[in-house]
Amino acid sequence: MTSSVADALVVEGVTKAYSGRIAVDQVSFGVPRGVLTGFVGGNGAGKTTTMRIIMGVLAQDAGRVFLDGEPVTRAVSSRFGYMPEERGLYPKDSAASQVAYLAQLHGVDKAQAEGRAISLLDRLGLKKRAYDPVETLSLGNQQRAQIAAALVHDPDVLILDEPFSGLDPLAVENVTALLAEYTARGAAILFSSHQLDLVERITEDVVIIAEGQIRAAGRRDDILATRAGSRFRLAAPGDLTWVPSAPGVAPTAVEPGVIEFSANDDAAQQVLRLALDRGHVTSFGPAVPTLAEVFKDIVRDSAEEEDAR
Amino acid sequence: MKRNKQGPRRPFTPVPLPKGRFDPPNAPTSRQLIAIVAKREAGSLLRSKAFRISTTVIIALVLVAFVVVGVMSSSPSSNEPTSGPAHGPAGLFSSDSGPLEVAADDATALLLADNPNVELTPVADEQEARSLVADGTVAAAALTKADGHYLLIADTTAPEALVVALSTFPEVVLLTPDSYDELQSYLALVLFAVLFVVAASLFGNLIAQRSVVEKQTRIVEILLAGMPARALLAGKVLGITAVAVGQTALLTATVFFGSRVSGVTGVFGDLTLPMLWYIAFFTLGFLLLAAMYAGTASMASRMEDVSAAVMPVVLLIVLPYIFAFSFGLQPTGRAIMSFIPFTAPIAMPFRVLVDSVALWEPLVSLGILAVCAIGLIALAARIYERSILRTGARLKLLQALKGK
Repeated sequence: MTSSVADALVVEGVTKAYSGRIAVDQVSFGVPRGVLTGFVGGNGAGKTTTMRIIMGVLAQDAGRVFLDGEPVTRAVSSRFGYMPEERGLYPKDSAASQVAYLAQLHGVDKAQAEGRAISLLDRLGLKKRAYDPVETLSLGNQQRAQIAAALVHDPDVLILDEPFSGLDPLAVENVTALLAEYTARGAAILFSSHQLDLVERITEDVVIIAEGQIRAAGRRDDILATRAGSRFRLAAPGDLTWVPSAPGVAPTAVEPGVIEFSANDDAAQQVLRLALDRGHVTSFGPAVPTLAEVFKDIVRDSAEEEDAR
Repeated sequence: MKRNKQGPRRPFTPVPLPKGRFDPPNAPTSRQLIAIVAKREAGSLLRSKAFRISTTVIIALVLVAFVVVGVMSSSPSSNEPTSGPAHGPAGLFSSDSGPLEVAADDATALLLADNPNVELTPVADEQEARSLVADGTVAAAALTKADGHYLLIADTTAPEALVVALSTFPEVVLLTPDSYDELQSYLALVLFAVLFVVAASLFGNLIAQRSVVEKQTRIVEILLAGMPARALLAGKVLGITAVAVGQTALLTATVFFGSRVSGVTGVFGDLTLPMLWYIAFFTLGFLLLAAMYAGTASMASRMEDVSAAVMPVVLLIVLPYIFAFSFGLQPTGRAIMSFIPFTAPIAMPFRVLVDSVALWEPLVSLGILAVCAIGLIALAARIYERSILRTGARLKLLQALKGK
């Protein structure tokens, strides 16, 4: 469970129970600066609880949170940018006025707060509706206002719970680009999402949580490669129908010209030799699963554990 | 155009977004946070249409009340001892239509002779009077009949002023006259009681709703990620209290102005000092109630639950109101009430008005109210802190206090 760079934000052994039911259990992971860290897990896995504890709006039963080696106190976490799971802005106020208000509460002076609010809303494509009451905006536009609220004081640590939910593809690109600017400037960003293909595409680090426990954390590519396990992928222009009958091979997916199978290393090398004997091989290697596949595996594993208990 | 109604009056001037190294601003102190929250609360309340309309209506009602009381108190006063058969004041004769031409016999002429608004034409008998009225020489005729009663002859309608001038009022003798009459005292009590109850429950409910909106929309989670709950509560309470006290001060000025302009005397001519005390009591009393409203409202997660959650505080307003009318008119009753924190804002200004109250009395009562306010605001802050982030079913008071 190591990250690519020194972690800026470190969560260490955080545990929280609600009236006897454990929501997060000994949760530890790190969030480095300069990359996007995706936080994935099923409903009720403990993502929101963990994020609320990092932000200090929920008190943990045990464990600690550090930023750059120092314990995170309210004075520290009040600098963070936060987008809670349950969205909320003042329904009757305009997006511009309340984003400016939130900036002021973070210590930005009034003129700067107002100017940044409108610039940021403009950047998020909300310029025309910036002075309308938030309750008159579409959900997607309210979501953009919510993102502006999290970013307006220019935080170097961002805790975003489902920032992409409800956004159309263009807005997703827009927000992704904005977050990329923050990582380029050295921000540490932890965001949760159920859109696993999106997470796989834009993150470098991933934290996977299930049943309140961390199942994997670290570089996305490492996690996916580890999970590749004993699966291989063979692509060849010729006939591949012989592969499933090779000794020690169990096919997992067959497409024209490509086959994926699980086998131990020796059996796999044998398949490669046989394939080369028969003609050209375009590629051969471990079959890297998608994040969605890995995630499903992990959730299935923990469900089996649950059954076994 | 619905657009921009709630927005700033002027559009914000964009500034370039920060680039390069992060340069986080210094976190504001609690005091700065409270000021920012209070400013927003007060500002958005002052801009709201509902507030502007209700304030205008209240001020207008007070002015109308003065006009009504003004008219009432300039009609014949019944508590001044008079002797002999009294007659209506001559001043009622309208002067802008010129003097009224009245034919009168000798006996009646004596009665009307002093009246500058009457131009007398002597007549000898009823026959002559009738013909003068009939041909329009005079507007009316007044005669004294043999049995001593007056006779008024007019063409189509009897001039009201003349009717009043000829009417007899009974002699009134009061053995122990009140300093103010009972009706006016009662009206003054109503004034203080209604002012307090209306303002306290109006602004109290407002602060309750605003707390729950923050909780229901969950913006409170963003707010409290950046600031302590107590600062949010304090800012909210101070902002709304400032507006409530401002409105009360405006009302006081209206009352002062109204009493001067309408020329009302008696109880309502004397309201300035009691109203100043009222502002002092209202400020402290409302601070207390506003904190309690916010604290108890924070136990609810939805608008529908607010009224049940704030019920204990509503009782703190309604019960004094009932007591005020039950005991307020008895000197001992109101003396006791004027030292009880919840009834003092109604009872003490009323006593200052109608009783002779030593200066120490309102001061001591204010002191008691202040101590009580400090205690209850601390309690409200505790409830607020422990409930504001908890969603779901409405919390019970004890749960909120224990934080479990």
